[in-house]
Amino acid sequence: MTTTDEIQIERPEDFLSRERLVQRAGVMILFLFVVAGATGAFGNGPLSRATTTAGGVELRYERFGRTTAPTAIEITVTTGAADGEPVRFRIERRFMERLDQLELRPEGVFKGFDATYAVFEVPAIDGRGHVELHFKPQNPGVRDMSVVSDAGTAQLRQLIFF
Amino acid sequence: MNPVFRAIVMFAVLWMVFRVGGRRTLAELTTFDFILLLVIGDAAQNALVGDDFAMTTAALVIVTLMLLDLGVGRLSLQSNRLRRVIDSVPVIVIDNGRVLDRVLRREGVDLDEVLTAARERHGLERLDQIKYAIVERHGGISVVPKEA
Repeated sequence: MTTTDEIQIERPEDFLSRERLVQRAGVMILFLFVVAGATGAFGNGPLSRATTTAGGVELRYERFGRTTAPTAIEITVTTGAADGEPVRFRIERRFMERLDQLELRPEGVFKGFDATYAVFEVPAIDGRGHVELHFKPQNPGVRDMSVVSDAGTAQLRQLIFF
Repeated sequence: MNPVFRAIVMFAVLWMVFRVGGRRTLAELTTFDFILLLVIGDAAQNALVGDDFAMTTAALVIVTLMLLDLGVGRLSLQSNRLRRVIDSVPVIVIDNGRVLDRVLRREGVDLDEVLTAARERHGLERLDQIKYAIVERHGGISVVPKEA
């Protein structure tokens, strides 16, 4: 402990200057973390929103998500079918089985599983079938998904944070 | 809404509520004040995270609130005018033993609280032993005794 005649107190200048440096760097890192969060690097923002189109299949989804935070995948399949006619598409079964607290909009469009796929059928409106999968991921990690239809095959990849 | 924006909105709301509500230190809280703070904390938590319990969300909310607090603190150092807006100003409530009743009422401070501070910190027994009593920015009461 360094002391002066006036007061007995620790004055570790080297430590204090290092501490200030670390604090400044820390604040910068935290600021960047918040900016990343605000722009959607952890979901729910412009960086996260994504659209994939392949043939007549369009997927709107979030690239990044967080466990327990609600997220959605919107699937639009354009076939040119007349209003009310069925539009069919399939999603990989292993992806569907990993979805947690799944809510389908509209309801009643899931028709069952075959060996590899979950089969969906939705009445066409303006030549398109539109389905939304709303869910809350319970586990972190990377999720890949393909939507297969006669109009094309589109794929997406989601990264779910803790 | 993105958790960062939720945190910014709630910070602004809470700051406004407590700035308008006046200063009062934790030591001077009544039982009802304490319960009110708990309820406000609970409501704020719901508004901040809702049903999103991800660790990333919690980290984003915590860091955003911390940086906002740090930013407001830094801002208040930039100019005296800003500091007044952010932290208010110290207010004299006893001037040379004379109680400034209107100021005391406006600050929501009881004369007993001032006398308690005078007894606790300086062992003063009477009002006429106080030169100044000041309600500080943070809500605490400072007492300057008259020289003997």
